[in-house]
Amino acid sequence: MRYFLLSVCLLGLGACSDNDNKPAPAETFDYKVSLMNLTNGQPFSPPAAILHDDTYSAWSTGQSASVELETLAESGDASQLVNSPGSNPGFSSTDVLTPGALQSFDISTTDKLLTQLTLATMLVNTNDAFTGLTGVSLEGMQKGDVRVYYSQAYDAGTEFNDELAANIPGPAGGGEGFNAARNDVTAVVTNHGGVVSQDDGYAGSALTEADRFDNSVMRIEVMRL
Amino acid sequence: MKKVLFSGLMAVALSTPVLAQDLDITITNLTHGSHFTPLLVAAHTDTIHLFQTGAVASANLQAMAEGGDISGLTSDVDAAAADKVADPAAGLLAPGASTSFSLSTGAGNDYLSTVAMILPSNDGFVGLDSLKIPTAPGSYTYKLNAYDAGTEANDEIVNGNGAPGLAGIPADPLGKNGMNATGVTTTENNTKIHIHRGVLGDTDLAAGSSDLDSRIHRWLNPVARIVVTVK
Repeated sequence: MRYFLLSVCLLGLGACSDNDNKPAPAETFDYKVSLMNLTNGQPFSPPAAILHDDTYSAWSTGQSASVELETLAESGDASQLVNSPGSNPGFSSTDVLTPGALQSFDISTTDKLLTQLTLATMLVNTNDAFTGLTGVSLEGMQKGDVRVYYSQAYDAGTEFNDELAANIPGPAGGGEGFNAARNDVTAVVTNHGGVVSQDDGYAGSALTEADRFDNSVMRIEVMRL
Repeated sequence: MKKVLFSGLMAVALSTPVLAQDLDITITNLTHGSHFTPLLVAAHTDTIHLFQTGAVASANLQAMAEGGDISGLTSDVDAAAADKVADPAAGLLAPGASTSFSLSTGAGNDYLSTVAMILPSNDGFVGLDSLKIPTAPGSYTYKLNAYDAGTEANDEIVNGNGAPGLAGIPADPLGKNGMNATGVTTTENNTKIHIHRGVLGDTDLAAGSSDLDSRIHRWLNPVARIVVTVK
């Protein structure tokens, strides 16, 4: 009989106690996110991370960028994106992710419906390039599980890639970030075609060969804690 | 004896062609400034290829890669009893745009291939060569690269020439090309099908070596995404 009781307690995953009416503690979903900048010379703006349900997506190839995404992709400011309508308020780092560097932070929820992850950061020595993931399902991850992703460079489709110092907010330009005007040749989110730079025949560019990049641009490791 | 029999059955199962399948397919142009000409999508046996890296392009592949003409390749796949969808987007597929369609495959047509010219380019194309079609129901995503047919020098001169063997680029559907370019090159080192090195372009719309705009027409791989849903 005692054995039987013990088995029931084990099946209840800790729900057993002296007080049979005590509710089971809610399951927490804690994740450690580690991001590595794989580019040669593109600093990444402080990254945004959002846990959300399956009704939200921060961008979709072929769709027009939201103003929140445009703001991130043109200025590196993730504050609007992490508070986007329909998404769970997320995490916003305060640290730039420099080339070659690794940055880790924890995100957490107790809402079992928030099974999807969005990550976004700007390649700041560009007009409107960003990278990350959106709508990646973390369902099925057990504590200790690790998943690794590699992300590509996207073009937000909101600003023409003129590479002029006046329009590059990163250290290569020190210019303007967000501008509500949209003047890109393709006005939807696509993959980025890369930067040209002054060393590749574009005299007006504020960028050098060191700012060039190729896919993938970021390594993402997610561990459930 | 029972064990041997079991192994024998396994071998038969593995070598038997997959029966007919119904597929839903979505292809997305991931580039920022390049169109795709009409796509040809075919499910076929392992005895044919639309293209293979390291091989010299067929005349029909050349016609597709230099001018976007898929009529010859369509005849090829019809002759091989393949299942096909020709031109699902009803014309050009714009940067960022997707096309979705269904493809029913006959028994034995277990391999999926697709091609379309990248415009503007001299002989660049997006391609998938003989993907073994998954059999388990589900949605499968693949990223596709840009290839160079190796049949034409990448001079990057937009002069309206799309016929096989004629130098130059037919057009830029975005209308962002320049003119009067002197030409980036007159030779093609690798005359077999290979990964495209990308276009160069320049920022001089009235002169320079290229009629393409380096800020607009360059791409990085992957250039397309194909999602195959097996029902």
